[in-house]
Amino acid sequence: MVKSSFMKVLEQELSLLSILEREQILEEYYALFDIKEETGLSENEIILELGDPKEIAQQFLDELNIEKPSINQEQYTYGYKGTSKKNTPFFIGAIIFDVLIGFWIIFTILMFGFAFAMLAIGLFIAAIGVLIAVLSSAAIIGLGEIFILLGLSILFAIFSFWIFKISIKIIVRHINWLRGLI
Amino acid sequence: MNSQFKKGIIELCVLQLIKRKDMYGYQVVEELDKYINVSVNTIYPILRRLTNEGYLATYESDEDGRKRKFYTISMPGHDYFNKNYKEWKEFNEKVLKIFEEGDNNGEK
Repeated sequence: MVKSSFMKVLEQELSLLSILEREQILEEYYALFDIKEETGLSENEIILELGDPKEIAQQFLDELNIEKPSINQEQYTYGYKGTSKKNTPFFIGAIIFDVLIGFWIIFTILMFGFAFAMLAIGLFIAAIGVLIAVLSSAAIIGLGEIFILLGLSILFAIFSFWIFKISIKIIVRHINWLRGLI
Repeated sequence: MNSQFKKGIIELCVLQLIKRKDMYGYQVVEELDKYINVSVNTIYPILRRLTNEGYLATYESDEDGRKRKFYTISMPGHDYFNKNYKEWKEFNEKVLKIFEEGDNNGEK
């Protein structure tokens, strides 16, 4: 078993919990994998150490006093498994969920493009600044202006690099967030 | 040992350790494991429940450049701990007394 399937089973088995609660539990286990991996353990060894994700989930449900409905109860309590009409809210939820994920993926790609564009523009302007400064060597414009131009272009490059860094941070966060959802 | 009984005591230990110092999940397990043999799978659900019940609160903070979710004890958590600790201590003293008196039934 690999980490992703371990987490998937854990997530499925915790489906009786609220999304928020489930997310927080999964987050703890992701963090645990990170900690253990840093000590040199492989995914497989960590999973062996942790044990069956179904049993882990059961421990959470026991601790939180949530009873798994028996098969008979299930038919009554969880009507959406029965007729298709009762399925509607579930499907609408699923569609909205998918649309949101799609939106975030597009957003991530756009952010990526934007970040690189900012970096490229910054470097480009800085290069032009330097080029003008060198080529015009005080003949067309004065030395003072050249320094101002140089200073401005370097400032802009720093600024765009800063924007680039922030964008990358946002992207990484979204990817982590998405990873938690899927 | 009766698992329900053991759980109550472990819960008390978890609260005491977090009262001493804010810790992230795995840190609680490691600290507690120095005293009694516990696993992640026992401690994480307890942390979850104590958080649900408002006895613990969480916040994110950096540790060695990594973002970690730290647990801290809340005011209700303090009250809850004090109450349970007192109860446990009194109970424990009575139990110990029984064993200290050993097989002596009063006749000398």
